[in-house]
Amino acid sequence: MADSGQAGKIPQDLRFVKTGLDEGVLTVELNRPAKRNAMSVELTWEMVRLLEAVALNDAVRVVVLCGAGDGFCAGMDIKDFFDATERDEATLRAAREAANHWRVRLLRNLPQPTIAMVHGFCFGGAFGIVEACDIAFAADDTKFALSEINFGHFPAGPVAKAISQTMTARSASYYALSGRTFDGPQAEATGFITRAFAAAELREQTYQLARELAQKDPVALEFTKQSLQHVQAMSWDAALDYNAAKFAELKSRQSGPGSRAASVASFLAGRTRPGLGTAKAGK
Amino acid sequence: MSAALPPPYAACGQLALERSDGVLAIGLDRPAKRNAIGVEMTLELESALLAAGRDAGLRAIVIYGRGGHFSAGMDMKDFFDHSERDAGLLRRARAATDNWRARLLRRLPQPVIAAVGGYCLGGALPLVECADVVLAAPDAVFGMPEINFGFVPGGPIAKSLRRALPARAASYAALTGRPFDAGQALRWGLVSRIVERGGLRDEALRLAARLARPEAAADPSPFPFLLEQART
Repeated sequence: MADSGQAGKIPQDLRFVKTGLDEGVLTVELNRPAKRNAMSVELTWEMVRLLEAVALNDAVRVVVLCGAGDGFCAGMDIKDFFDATERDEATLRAAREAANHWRVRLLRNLPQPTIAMVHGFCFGGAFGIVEACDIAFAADDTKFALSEINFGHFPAGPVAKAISQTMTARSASYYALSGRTFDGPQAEATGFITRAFAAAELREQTYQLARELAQKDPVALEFTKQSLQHVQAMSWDAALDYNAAKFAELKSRQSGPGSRAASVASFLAGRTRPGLGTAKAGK
Repeated sequence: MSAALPPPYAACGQLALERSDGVLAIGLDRPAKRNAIGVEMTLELESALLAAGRDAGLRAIVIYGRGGHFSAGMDMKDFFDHSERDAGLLRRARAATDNWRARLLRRLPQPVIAAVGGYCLGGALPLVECADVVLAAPDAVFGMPEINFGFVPGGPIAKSLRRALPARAASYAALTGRPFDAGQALRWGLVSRIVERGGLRDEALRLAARLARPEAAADPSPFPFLLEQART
């Protein structure tokens, strides 16, 4: 990433997404509480604009994604995406494509690590947001549901793939077919989220981790994300080859002061000892 | 177990190898460095695993750490410090590492049991990921500390992570660098069973002996077929 410049400027005119940058941690809050933060056409285009900028913004080191008001997100505002009285067909089709684009590609491919902070409720299309984040924390009392089946629909767009990527096969089938709700600890057991916390602890745990990640080398974080994304589909020999190429790229991108080159020198001179960092054993 | 090591095994300085009744015990033996895998150990691991692959009478393998830890991972300093070893040897050591972690471990025709106590960090992961059964002591500490010093779990380690842990767990461990304990490793499916520390190695050897079934040594081993099914 070179100079952030104009392209990386966080848009300040968003109506349905609230942002705030504090010490490298960008909070992105879905902000349509009267509609339970359901994703509308307008919110969709705002997310596209926002995430395109975030990807180019060096000041953003970590992204926390959350919902304003009583819950995280109630899914897609389906009516808005199909209401031909307000917008013509081509516009609606483009909006539906954009709704997939920001969840499946823009959010997933951000160079910064992303944490979903989920509270209250998380329904249907919101699963596609949570899955695309690297880490997902949720309050114990969050209501999760793949409710599509309850109104004669199915987990469309990115949702079916989102759950099959993260959940155990049995959990994905059970919750998608039954539409039953489940809570934070159950979501953790299925593999859909990383960890569940008592509701009162969620914010502190999330931002503690976000600040911790903001201190880490941004290039190493980006490459860690990329490796985890790509190596599964590679043969072992391809992964070794990829590793060798990424290793060289890492070295070239980390050559400035305070870079990896400097840390290795300091390590070889016996001044630092990499290892467990400051974190304590446990979870 | 008998101390005498039959061919094709070579004597080692940083691995404690014992071979008896169809079982090979591989002890990572560099306790002063928490069994960090350096140039010598990686070359020895490659040669021991090559030998095991050719050992027709071998029926099970146990991998454990001597002293307080399983392994603190790769000894990075060893692999990049040109002041003590020539470039050819370092290159050979890096190739040997890739050979055992990307190929040899995955093609062993025998079941592998890993016994993990203390640290099991970073580059030690493939040893555990490739094991068919993983026993861990309550004091086991797993983690991917690479990110804590501006590095990444490289290609093959990231691939090991994705295979050994659920998606969420792999991302969390690699991006945060936070260590996790045996209980968490069990919940994430990395560990098969938790075994009290004092009996860890013995339990692994007992299990290996049961799998080896010396009384049935004349029969063809059922494991190559079973393992091929289970490991893919």
